[in-house]
Amino acid sequence: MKPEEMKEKVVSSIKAIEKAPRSMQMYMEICAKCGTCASVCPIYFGKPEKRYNPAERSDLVRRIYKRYCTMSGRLLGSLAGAQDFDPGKMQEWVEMFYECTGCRRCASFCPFGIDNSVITRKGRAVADQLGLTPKTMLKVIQVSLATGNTDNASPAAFKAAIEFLEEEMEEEHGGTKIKIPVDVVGAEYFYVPPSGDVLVNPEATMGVAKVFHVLGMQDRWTMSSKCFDGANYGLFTGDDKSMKADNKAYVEEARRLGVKVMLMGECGHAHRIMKMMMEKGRWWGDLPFSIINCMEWTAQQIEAGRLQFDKSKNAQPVTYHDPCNFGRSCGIVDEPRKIMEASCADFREMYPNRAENWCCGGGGGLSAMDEIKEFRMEVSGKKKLAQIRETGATYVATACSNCKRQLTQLMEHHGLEIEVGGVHDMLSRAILVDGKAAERVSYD
Amino acid sequence: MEALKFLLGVFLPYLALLVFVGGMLYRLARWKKLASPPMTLYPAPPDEAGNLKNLLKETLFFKSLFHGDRWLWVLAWLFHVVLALIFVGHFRVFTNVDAIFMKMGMSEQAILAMSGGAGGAAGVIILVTAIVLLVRRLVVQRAREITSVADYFALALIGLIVFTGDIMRFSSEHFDLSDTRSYFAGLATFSNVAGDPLLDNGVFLLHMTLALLLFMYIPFSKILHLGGFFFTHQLIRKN
Amino acid sequence: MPTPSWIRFQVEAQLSEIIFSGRSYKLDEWGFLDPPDQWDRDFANGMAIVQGIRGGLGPAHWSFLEYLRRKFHEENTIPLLVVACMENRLHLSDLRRLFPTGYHRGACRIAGINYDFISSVNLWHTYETAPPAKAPYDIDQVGFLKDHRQWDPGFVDFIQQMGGSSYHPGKEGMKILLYLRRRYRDTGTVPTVFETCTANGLGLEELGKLFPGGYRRGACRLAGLPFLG
Repeated sequence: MKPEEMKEKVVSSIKAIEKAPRSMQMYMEICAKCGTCASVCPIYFGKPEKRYNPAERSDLVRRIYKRYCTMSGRLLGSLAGAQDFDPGKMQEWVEMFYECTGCRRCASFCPFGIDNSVITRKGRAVADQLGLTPKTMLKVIQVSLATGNTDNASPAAFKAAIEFLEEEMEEEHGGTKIKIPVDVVGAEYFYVPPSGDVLVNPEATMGVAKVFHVLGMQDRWTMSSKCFDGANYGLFTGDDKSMKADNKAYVEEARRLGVKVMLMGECGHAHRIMKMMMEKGRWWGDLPFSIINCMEWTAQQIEAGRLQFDKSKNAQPVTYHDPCNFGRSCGIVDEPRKIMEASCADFREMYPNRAENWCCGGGGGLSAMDEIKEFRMEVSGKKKLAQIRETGATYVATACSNCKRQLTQLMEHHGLEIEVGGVHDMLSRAILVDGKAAERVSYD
Repeated sequence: MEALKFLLGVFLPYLALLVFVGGMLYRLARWKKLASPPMTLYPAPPDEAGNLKNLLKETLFFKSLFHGDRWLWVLAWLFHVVLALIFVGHFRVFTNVDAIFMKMGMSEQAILAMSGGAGGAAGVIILVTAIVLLVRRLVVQRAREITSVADYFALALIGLIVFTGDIMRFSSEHFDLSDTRSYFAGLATFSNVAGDPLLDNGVFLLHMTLALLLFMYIPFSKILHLGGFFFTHQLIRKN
Repeated sequence: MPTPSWIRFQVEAQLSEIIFSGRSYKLDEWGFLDPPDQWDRDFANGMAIVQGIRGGLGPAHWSFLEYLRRKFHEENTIPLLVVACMENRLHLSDLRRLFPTGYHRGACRIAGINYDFISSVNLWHTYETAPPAKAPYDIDQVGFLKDHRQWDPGFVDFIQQMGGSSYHPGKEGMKILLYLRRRYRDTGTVPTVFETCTANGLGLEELGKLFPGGYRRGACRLAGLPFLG
């Protein structure tokens, strides 16, 4: 692409901020450059350099906005903090916007409530329009739109995998048959996990199946052989079109199955898109079903005293990492703790936690990008590593596939023998089915 | 010289008022018009009342900043609170609010003592905090690396206004408020104030000119947070 | 005697190459074989030790590894964990028993598939465990144990594996090794070959038979004594 052409596209994309959304335009106009965002940012903590300063990153967009959309910027130029776009810096632009995890921690502490993740998403959307989205991200989106899941698995493979999991649970529970219903029209609950929780780390899905079994509700829920992956990377690349396309398939499937509740799995951004963006923003109008998370649902059952556990099955010290999309963006913080405390003997908090938790360093889709592994291991994950070490836990549970991927690599890279896993994974190991917990060979 | 006095003493106040009010209304109208998709950030208050309470906490106590950067909070909170006090205190300069205080039972001496004490202290505190904030910008890396000319300009402008104000307050020459009251009364009634003797006071003219420039600057600069602040918190905390 | 705990030892830096049976293999930054065409059975045997598989690779291991390599070579893919288990009629627990460090980090690594390829095929990888690829012992450049306190009887097997020989000093030899270690611990010096012979009632020739690698490079190295001790 010619530099002039590139510049024209970037500028017109940024000029569009004049039309919406409101938050974006206000963020362009009122930042006081006080530096508070930097002092709470996991990236800047990892490496205090100008390049990693959230306000500086946001200024990439802000400078161009001021140059073209504000009177002061047009008249006074750099005196008013305005600057023209330099096509030669496009590569740096892309890199910098993929060095923000969009964790929204800055928004929690900014005196004006400026949410830099909104600006990051805009910066990425600009890159996306120029076809400069990192290849890994593009590939995930392409696979996801083509097959409906990020693991490139066919419905047949999915069904076979489910059968395997049923056998696996039968083995774990001494012959008790625990069902995972698939494609059942007229079921009440429609479980939408991230595909990794079925095909690669299936314990979470087994955990959910066991909960339904214990409650005697094994015929009232279903999964879909076409829609079994809530992951939606359009959120991360700033590409609204593919985000909505991916999302639409799930809403339509839920309508086709005639379910009453969409039960989102342990996937932060999937739940956020479904609950906070799609439902609240009324993308597809009125929905005949409600949306809750499986952790909320299980926690309710625990509170009502319907589930029993053998905590000795999870004897090691365990801590919980709040995924940003669950903590800050969806307010689901107490439910996972209820599940952990019910199923683990030694649950420990890390501090700060909940809505003030530090990002794992792999948010915003970064976790899938192995090309920036060094950055994720040494810069963005630094704070999380220290936090986990401090707890002395040997197992970190978290409810997000992206976090899990980042944390696993983080532990591996730094030579720590700390296991990473999910919340329902822990539940699956300790829940009593017919009075007995799973017989499970654990890794040594 | 007469032309300059007319420009700064008569024309500029009207212009500044027009630009400030017009500019702020323009901004607010534009923001209001824009679509605002939900973007809740937790912990979010469950209802409007909670939201309002949260906004009050943010406005009066800078809640977020308090949790984010304690040192900056001390400086910023002092700076803004004192700034607000000074703004309120200036009503004595424009018009005879003393009468109200007297009605409330304060003696003239008490009013003067309050003005001299609180006003004097405010004049010192704001100058000090403004200087420390400037030093912070120059010294603290994470602030320095994102500071541009515009940020220094805003701080310097406020610093100069405070400085000229302090000269008037603390100089040995007595500054008679009845002069300013009659001058502003003249402005408010659209009488000809071009020949007002007050405008011969160079420090006053400079102080007022800078203050008016600041007001005109607000809608077009980051000091716009004066208005934006109330909405951005609502945007992210709305459940 | 403490039981050997293969995967408990920490190595400060990630290895960039690893030596098994006298052959050096290049690893990627995650400790996976890269390029994959370096793979041979010696690598698999060696990596199996590093991945905590004790007692060597058995037929069940080999059958699974061959399955993975077939998928990798012929179909240019890695099956998803659940699919791999299904096609090999293994329960998750069976796989866990076979490859204690997991599917991707254990089995795929021993099968010699590089990390980038695994990642490009399976975005989500297993996170059951996350022990890094670690040599169980810290070895210096000339193949001696860096810290003699790390020694345990497993070290002899380890050196044997790295050297690629089927030689083992046997019960008699182990006695000599323990003597050497005791002497080194008590005096901080390595006894001369004559002292060792006298103390154990052996002739020089008998000692040479027990340790064909020589006294210093054979016996003392196996005993975990440092190179210039």
